[in-house]
Amino acid sequence: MNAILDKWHAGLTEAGRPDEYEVKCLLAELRLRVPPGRRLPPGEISVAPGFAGPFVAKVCSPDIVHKTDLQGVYLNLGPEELVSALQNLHATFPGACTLIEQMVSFEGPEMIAGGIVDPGLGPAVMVGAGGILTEIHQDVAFRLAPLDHDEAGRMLAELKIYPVFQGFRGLGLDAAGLAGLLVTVSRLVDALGPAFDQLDLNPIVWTTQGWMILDAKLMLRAKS
Amino acid sequence: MTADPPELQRLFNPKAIAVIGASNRPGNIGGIIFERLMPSLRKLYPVHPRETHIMGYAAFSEVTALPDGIDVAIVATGAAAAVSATEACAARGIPFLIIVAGGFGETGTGGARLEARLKRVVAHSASRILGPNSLGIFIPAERLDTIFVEHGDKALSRGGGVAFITQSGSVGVEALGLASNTGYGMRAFVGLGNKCDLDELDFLDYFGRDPDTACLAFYLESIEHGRRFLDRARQVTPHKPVIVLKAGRTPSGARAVSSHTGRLAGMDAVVSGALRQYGIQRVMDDEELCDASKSLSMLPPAPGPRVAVLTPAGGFGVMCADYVEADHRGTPLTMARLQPETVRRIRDATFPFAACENPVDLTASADDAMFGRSLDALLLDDGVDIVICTAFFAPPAISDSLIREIADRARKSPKPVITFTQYGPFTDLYLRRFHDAGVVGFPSISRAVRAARFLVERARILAALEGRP
Repeated sequence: MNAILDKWHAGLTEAGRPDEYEVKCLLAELRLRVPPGRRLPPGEISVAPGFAGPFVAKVCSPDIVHKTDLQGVYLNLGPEELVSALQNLHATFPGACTLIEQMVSFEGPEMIAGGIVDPGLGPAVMVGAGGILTEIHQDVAFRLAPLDHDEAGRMLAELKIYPVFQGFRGLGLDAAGLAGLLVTVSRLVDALGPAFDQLDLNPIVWTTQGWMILDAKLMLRAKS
Repeated sequence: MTADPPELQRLFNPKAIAVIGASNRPGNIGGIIFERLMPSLRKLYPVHPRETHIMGYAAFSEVTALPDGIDVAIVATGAAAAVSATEACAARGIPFLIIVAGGFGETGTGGARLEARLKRVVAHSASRILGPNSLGIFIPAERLDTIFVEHGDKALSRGGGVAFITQSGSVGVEALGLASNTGYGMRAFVGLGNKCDLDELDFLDYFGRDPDTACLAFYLESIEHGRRFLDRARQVTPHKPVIVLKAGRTPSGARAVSSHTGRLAGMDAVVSGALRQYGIQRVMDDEELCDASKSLSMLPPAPGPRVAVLTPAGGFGVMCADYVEADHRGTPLTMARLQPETVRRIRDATFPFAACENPVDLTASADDAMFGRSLDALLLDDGVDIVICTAFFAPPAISDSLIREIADRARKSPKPVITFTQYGPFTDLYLRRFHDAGVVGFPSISRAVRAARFLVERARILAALEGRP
């Protein structure tokens, strides 16, 4: 873990300020699943990202936290729509990179996982019902990091949404797989140490390939 | 620095105690404490600059005049005098000081300066300090009581298994009051006060290992050395329940929270998750702290979540079923499905026409023996994990013998039996009688059902600690 993190820190475009693409590269290094994606430098238009569509195009910058609110995300694009979406993004966010990803289809609810630092107790992780309504549902469970697989399973069992892991309406979501993801997240949060501030993986969805993280934000602390 | 548990033995079982600031003047706090200590049959040494005798004991004019071998000095003067007295006690090598005086860090900068001097005493001597601003300690079994607030100690003289450790004096007095009203078995009471030295970590370790402690209850506004407290609590929770009321729920960090996770951490969701992770049972208010510690110190963990309700009063039974099935804060209960054999046993013991659904309503025609034999049947049923009895004394054939009928069975049962009782102005009296008979009782249905959840939660903690699903 530490070797991966050192290399990742060293490779960041802006030290201590990873963008979505860089966070997802780190998650992929940790064997967590993210959609196939490619980051384009400011102004560049690509018609052939190197994977099949449909596509998602988003602005990709550590400065833009709420990209959906700022018209920074275009979904479900064919090849031609991709070009115009990229043009729009470059016009709206001059000087910012863009991220093209494969649009993933999924089954069941969106989940969220994340991490924060509690002032008294240190790094903690969370899992819960995700998506844009996550703060309305408030269906989340917290634990201190790091944690083991059993404890991660108990976090899921605490959620109101837990029946979706038990065959509710024919959904076959894999609780053990999501627990495994949480364990990895908790180790990441722990290993980042004093550099860690906040992490959001939202949404995380169940796909034919398993749990996949569609959006990721990692905020680090300036070295003091 | 954490005190060795054997070392704290001297604090909780001292042979010789000095009370600094004890006076014959009525209402004097040192005097009240001194009087409280007289039945403890320890050697007592009052210290007062002018009075020569305190309640018949020869007084010492100053700390330097005290003999050797004093285990505990209780400092009951004003704040400034308390600091000098503490310094003098430390110089005399007195190992434990209980500083009752307030007027320290809780009052502002002047008080904080005085408290800093106490911390210097701790740093530069072998003496350990409880407080300042501490309500003191109370060990019923040792008849050792340094609490100057009236707290109905006669009711507590039987003692019990709860180590009650509180940062707030008033919450402590409430628990003690509850104890004297309705029964509550206390092994020890510790008023932490401002925690300038000894803190919850010391007492967690001590009572965690104390064979006479069945359960630890903490009221805390701040958790010192958060992770260490959790780690040490996990050493205790496999052996005995640890319950925490963490008051002062503050937003998680003043830092800007730009993440969903940060906003969802809200008031203190992290604390709740962390306590659960380490096998600690969290409660949200004073009443719940007392109810949980009372239940967990006296009753076994519930083997499962299935509740049977036995009542001679239909209304209470129906309400009980509602509470069992209602919002559960993460610990669901269910109404047990009674086995045919159980139904047959209850009908044999009562009336052929008895309604033996759960809740089992024996109706107002029931008598004490019917209630007892029906309780037997429920406890024998493999599908029942917990029994809640509503002890209602109004029916004509129900008498005070119902207490014994329930107690005889509850005390022997490996399954928890919880009692609800409500009988107008006599409610507290009956609760006390149940408590004295070894039965856990509550004056409301919702509290009885909530107690069942604590026992289910405890069983789940034990299962998790042992790696069971």
